[in-house]
Amino acid sequence: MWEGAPGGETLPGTVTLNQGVGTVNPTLNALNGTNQTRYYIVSSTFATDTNRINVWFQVVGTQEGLVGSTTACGGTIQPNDHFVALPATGLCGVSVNLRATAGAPAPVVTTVQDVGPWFPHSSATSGNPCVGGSNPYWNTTGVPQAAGNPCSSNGAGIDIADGTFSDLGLTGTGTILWRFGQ
Amino acid sequence: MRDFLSRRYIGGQPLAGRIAGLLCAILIAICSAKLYGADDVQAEALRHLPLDAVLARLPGLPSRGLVPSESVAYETPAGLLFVYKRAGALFLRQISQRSKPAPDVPLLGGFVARMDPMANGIIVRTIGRGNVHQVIVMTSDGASAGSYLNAFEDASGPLVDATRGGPIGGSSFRLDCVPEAGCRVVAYGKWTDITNCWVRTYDWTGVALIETDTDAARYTLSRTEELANTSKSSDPMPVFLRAADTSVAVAKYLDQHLPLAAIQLCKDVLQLLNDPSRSIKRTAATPESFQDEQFTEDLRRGTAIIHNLLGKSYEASGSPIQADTEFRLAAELDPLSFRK
Repeated sequence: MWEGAPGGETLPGTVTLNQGVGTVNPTLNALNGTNQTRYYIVSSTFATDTNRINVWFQVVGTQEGLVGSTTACGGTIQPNDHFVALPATGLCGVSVNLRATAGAPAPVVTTVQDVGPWFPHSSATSGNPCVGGSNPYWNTTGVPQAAGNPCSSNGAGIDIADGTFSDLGLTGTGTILWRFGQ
Repeated sequence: MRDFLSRRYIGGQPLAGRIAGLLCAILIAICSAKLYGADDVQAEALRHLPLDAVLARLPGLPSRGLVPSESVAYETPAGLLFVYKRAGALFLRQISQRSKPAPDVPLLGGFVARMDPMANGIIVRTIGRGNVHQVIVMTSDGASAGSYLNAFEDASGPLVDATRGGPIGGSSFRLDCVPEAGCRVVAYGKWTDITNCWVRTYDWTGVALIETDTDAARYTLSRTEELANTSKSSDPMPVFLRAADTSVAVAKYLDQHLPLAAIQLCKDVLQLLNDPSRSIKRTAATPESFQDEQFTEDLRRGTAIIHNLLGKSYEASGSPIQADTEFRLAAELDPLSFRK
């Protein structure tokens, strides 16, 4: 049995064992709040076990830059700074874990310190034509609103401060993996 | 200021509301005076704050009752200006000693931002010529999501929007002021993403800030040079940050048909990458035992990126042989990223 999440998914309810081994390949789109994991319970005739699985989101990441600007969490962006921006308010200080590619040997852990990219945005301007409220895509489809909206030029779902961007070995806009937690 | 503080503004509320408001205002004034006796402007803003609102502080700072010193309130010759937040929305309020209270002005965004780390949240200065002061308030939904520059015609009178059709959008802004000629507003896109590296300029027509894009090419070149200077700074910096900044600067030089400047930048950056003391190892993400190996790898990949940029620059300058040499060097250093 899988922990339900706001996005809802159709997940396998039973596993057929073959010589004691069973395999499932679930796709998890969302999680609850800023939880790092979804849990699942495995029940058999003789035992019940609860396990947790980290939920990662694969989105386009961009380099934030903007040294000297005021972030939504109150800081002033420093050269070679370390943080990320996610497109929803109320996440200041929440930990995130990033990887440049699946299986990358060195994850980067930092915190949310800004709001963006693209959303929320109150009004279309020449700087950002997107209009909409917070987009906590990790609680819905797992796909950032900007990814399917022509208002965004790159479809990014996370903005990464320069130092963190560099720690990930990135040199330009590209796909990254992230999840909540340390 | 003391003269202004001695005068009490009471809005056109019903009598009971006025009395309640007055009592609360007195209470808040007493509290704020106790806490902030030296900060008259902030205390005065607190005194005139709507009862269900908070001062729209710069984010991350304490809320009502602990007014920060970053000047979300501003005293003008005509009275007091401050931004407050009610039910998540921002409003600009003017408390005037000369005229009757004007309606509060709604502002876009979620917080008051600064144009630069040293600037106040509210800027009152002459944008056009003469002695008339305009009001500029920069608000934002988030540095990453973008900011708004709100401008109002005349600080000494009722607040009239001077941007004609909504605030100016951008990732950052600058006031370029020339004595006797006034100031120009320069809005910048996000200069980490080549698709958003734009500059727009807004000039004062006498009553409004209008997009003219006058001298936009000059500001674009200036911004490109700033980025190039960051890229070739001799201060140690992460390899990939230097490479990313160089990539944008080279692309912008080539956009502006300045391949020679791009070539020189690449050469300068290659020299820096040849000296490991000018680069910073990745530490946050890397186990110590792996750091030296990764640093060597990063320098190799970073150097490949710059050789590839140098190749593009030579190509744009009409030097295909030199371009091929650079593309080949990039491919030798990082065959996965660059093909021969």
